[in-house]
Amino acid sequence: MAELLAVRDLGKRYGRVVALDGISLGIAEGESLAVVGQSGSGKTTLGRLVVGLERPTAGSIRYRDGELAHRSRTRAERKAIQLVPQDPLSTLNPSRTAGANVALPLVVHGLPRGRARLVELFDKVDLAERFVDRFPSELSGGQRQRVAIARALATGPRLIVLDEPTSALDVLVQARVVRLLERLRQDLGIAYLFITHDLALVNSVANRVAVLYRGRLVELGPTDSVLRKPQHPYTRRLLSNVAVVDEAEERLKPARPDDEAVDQEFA
Amino acid sequence: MTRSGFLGAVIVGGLVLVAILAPWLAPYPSHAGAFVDVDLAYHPPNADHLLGTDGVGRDLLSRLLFAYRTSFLLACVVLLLAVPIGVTTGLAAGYLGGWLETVILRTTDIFLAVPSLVLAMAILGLFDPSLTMAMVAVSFAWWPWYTRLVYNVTRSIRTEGYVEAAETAGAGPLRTMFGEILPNARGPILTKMTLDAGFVILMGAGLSFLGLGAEPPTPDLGTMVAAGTPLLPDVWWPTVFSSLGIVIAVLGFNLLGDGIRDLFGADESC
Ligand SMILES: Nc1ncnc2c1ncn2[C@@H]1O[C@H](COP(=O)(O)OP(=O)(O)O)[C@@H](O)[C@H]1O
Ligand SMILES: [Mg+2]
Repeated sequence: MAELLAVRDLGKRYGRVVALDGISLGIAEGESLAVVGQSGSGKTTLGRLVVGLERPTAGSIRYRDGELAHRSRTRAERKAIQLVPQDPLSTLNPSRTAGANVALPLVVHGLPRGRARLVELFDKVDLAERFVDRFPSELSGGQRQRVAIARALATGPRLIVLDEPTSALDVLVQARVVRLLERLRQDLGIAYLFITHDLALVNSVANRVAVLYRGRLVELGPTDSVLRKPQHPYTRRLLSNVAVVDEAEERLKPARPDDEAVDQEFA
Repeated sequence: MTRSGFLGAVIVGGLVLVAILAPWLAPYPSHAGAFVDVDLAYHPPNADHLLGTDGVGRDLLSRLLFAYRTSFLLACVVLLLAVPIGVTTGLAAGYLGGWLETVILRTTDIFLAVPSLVLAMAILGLFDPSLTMAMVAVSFAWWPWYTRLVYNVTRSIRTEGYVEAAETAGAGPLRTMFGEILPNARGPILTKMTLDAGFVILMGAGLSFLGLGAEPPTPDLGTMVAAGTPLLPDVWWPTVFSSLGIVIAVLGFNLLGDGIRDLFGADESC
């Protein structure tokens, strides 16, 4: 598979704080790369650098043939890399309807943003048309996260950075969102940089896993081998917190959606 | 809305109506101007003049109703000048940061170090006093408060997910500031504007009490208090009623402002 994004020796300092140090990794077209690590390990910082919210203090970020690290991005590059932000409570603008939130990238890029287009985007994330006119305060956590995903899809991206997209959701809703993301990836061929501190989730969302520890990449490999034969002691420690791998797999295998939870989601 | 907030809304709404309808509500509309009838001077409240008359025989009720026009004009103009300036500088300082932030914040520090009334008086001292100059002077003293307010709110909002999502989508600074951040600052801004309308009216009255505001014969609450004070306590009605007029306006805006604060506070928690 062709490499979509390649990060080399990436570093970010905030004054004396080294948030990221010497990170090198690649993401192929349509691949889902999970980034795991405990809180403060630099996951969000990596995501912010990749989407261009901040510039790195060292290293390079290549998207296809373009070097992004030290210049402002072209329109096409902005459209191609989108973000689903970390905190689901603030992921949507509370003073706009869900539809207007999704329309924002369309407005910015001068893309068609009629009702039909919004309904189409809502449909992609399994939300009925009536949600277009709801305000974020009228939506459940899972619904908000779907709207945020619809907004990220609006520009037709090739890569979406998902910053802990399910961490504030309860397990059943989490399973539904994960299945939705997986389906979108298969249907649309979008690649994910899937940030999570929850190693148990990784098996159902990622082809490969990158493990961050204090801003450094300590392990990178196919999901199976990282989960089954972790090389770095830190990964082993992370895994031991998740209990037995197989058990964790069992527990979080995207199960049949519980009917009650579905009803709640679509209420 | 809370009960007291509702009371505030009723008071403010009533006063706005009074100001608009003054020519029709006032029993003696011509008394709002330079009317003189010495025979009528200093009549205490009676059936013809419910609030009595002033030193040149003008009906105090009529003048009080018209005085609210002056007060509301002052409040509107000051807020229309101060709020846009404060909002723009506050957004710019809070969102863009850098040297702009430093320059804007240090400038507001200088303004805020001097009490608003003193600053307005100092400015008015340089010019011939008039209502227009008073409006400009008060606005000049007032905008930094909005800069500070909007700056603080912007700082807390600019890292919210939806702001970062907008930036990622490629929204420029103007769209992000005015489209994403400002709408979510409207609660505190509206609250402050409402509270401030009362304080601006009070300050305008203070300036004209000192002879630095509206010139006679323009009906003005502060001028009316000033004209009445030397005659206390025998001729009590001009001072008492015009002071009450100020108190009611300030009280109304304060109650309404608190009500709006609660309204938006409740809004955010859900
Ligand atoms: N804007 C910033 N200023 C200073 N330090 C920061 C900033 N953003 C992140 N950091 C620091 O960088 C490190 C990594 O943070 P982050 O990327 O948010 O970690 P994670 O998402 O894995 O929890 C932390 O030590 C954090 O304190
Ligand atoms: Mg994070």
